[in-house]
Amino acid sequence: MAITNGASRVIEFQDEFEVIVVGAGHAGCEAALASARLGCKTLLLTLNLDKIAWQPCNPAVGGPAKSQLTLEPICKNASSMLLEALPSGLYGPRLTNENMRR
Amino acid sequence: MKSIVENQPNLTIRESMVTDLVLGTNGEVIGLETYFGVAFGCQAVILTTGTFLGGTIWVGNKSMAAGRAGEFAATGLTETLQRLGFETGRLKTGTPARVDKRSIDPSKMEPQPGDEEVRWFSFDPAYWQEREQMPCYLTRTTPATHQLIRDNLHLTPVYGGWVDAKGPRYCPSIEDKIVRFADKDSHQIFIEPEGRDIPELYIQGFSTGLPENLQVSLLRTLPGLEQCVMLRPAYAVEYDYLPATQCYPTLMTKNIPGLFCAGQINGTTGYEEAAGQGLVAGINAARLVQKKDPVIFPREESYLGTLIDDLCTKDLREPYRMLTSRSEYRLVLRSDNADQRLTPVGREIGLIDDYRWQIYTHKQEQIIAEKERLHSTRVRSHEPAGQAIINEAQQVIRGGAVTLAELLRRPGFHYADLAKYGLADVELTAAAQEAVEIDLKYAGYLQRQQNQIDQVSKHTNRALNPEIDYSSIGTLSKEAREKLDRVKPLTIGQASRLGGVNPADINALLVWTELQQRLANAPRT
Repeated sequence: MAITNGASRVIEFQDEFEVIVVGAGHAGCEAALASARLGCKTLLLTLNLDKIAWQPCNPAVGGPAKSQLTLEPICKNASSMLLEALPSGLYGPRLTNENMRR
Repeated sequence: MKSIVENQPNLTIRESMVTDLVLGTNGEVIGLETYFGVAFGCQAVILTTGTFLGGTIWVGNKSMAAGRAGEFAATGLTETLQRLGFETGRLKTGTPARVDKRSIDPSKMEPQPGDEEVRWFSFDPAYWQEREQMPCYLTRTTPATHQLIRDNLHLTPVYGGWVDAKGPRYCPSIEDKIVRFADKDSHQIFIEPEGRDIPELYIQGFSTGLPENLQVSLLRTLPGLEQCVMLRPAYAVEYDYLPATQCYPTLMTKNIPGLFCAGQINGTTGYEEAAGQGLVAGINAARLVQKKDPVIFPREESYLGTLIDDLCTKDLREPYRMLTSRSEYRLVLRSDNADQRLTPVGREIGLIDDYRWQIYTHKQEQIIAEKERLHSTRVRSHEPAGQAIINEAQQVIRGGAVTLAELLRRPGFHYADLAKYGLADVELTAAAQEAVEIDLKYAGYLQRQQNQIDQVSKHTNRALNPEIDYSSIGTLSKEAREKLDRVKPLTIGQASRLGGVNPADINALLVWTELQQRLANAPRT
């Protein structure tokens, strides 16, 4: 399909999707998974395919309030979220996880 | 996560830098363009640009266009968004150095082992596979650390004056801590492994904007790190964000139909905050495409709802982190009942499959049945279990009998005690036991919370004197004192809508005004 952007240019779409997500950090991955699981043809664009869902800062998830935030999406989404299968602490679970593997 | 997204049906992944949006005749999103000139058509775009949008990293006074160390910044998109009429701002965050674990001396630090009794984020027992745990370590800053920082403050981007973007208040750099908490001689520093089979250690609480040549000396002032080898220097990163008051609570922008934002671009900090917003944006983008009604998460139902309500209504000018104090419903919004609150919502949206739904309904049935049993089962004082409860657990049984629910409501008496005296349902999972106990034990507090919420809503029109010196009200958070002093709101309602003023602060303010009134009305002697 070709359309004009503004009045000046003709744009050819190389491919068509329903939803495109820009960025593959923790927001981007959850957004892309939710969209795809709800049946939308989804494209996830990232600057670096090797750093999907990277933890550039603290290698941990959870803690007070953040643990509830972690659990809440898990409760809504079949098997997504950053790290599903890892042990955690008491009541405000916090998990120091493996950020990098060889 | 990488393999999850790689193997998700309906999902294509590609490396690319997006620079422009393509809009239709009604100003709605119909596609986007990339730096190298490829265009893709679509009906919705979700921007989750993190620290990459106009990202600049700083080490001392040296800067580089980058979203993270060693990775390109996303350029061009900010200009597109500004051209489309969006207000953009600058925020900052930072990350500490990484140190080689073979170069530290753990014997000089305090080991911080994981919990003996593990708990799980997943509600699916199939994921509960325990692996060997590695300890973290605790060390502390020393007078030498503080001296080195004070001597070189002028070399950091913030105190040197060449970066003025706001950083996360609850995750300050080490120089911020030393300036802001000048009365403290020492700060805790946690040493956390980055992985099982790589040598990198994360130095938690020690992010800095100091020049690289000072960073090793700084690390070596910490006990246990005297000989340490630095693998990656600490750096600060500045990036563009769009104040999220420009979004609906679906996270779709008000300006451009079909354009959604989630994560740091909305001014938050943290993986969990980002992931939660991503989920909401993904759900609503799909529903927009499928012409279904949007889904909005109310703040009384989840932290996720609280987060998004705060982002979209409050004018937040510093990175927003989720805290329990952000919610006026924090007794209700717990980890143990996250499934009760939200799994039915997920099922209705279409994200919870039959397998997960069956796990959920089974647990809820167990909880309901067990609560009924506890309410209807009595233990009599003359029975052996009753005798044990009186003599060992030191509980009084009045009138010769007590229900198990009544026992559980008492402080210091837990479900495990029921088990001890043969009165528990041994089939019940630990999670269901916990849910039952919390429901029964805290029923009174939960009711009280509801009353408190009703009271706050009743007081929204109460007047506040613009002369109030908020800095002197110690029961308010420091952030609230600053914001209230700046704005001097005229009513409680106005105060409650200020960014950075939490519901807990409003309660404290109500108590304070009540007290002032009583003092003013007190008869003079």
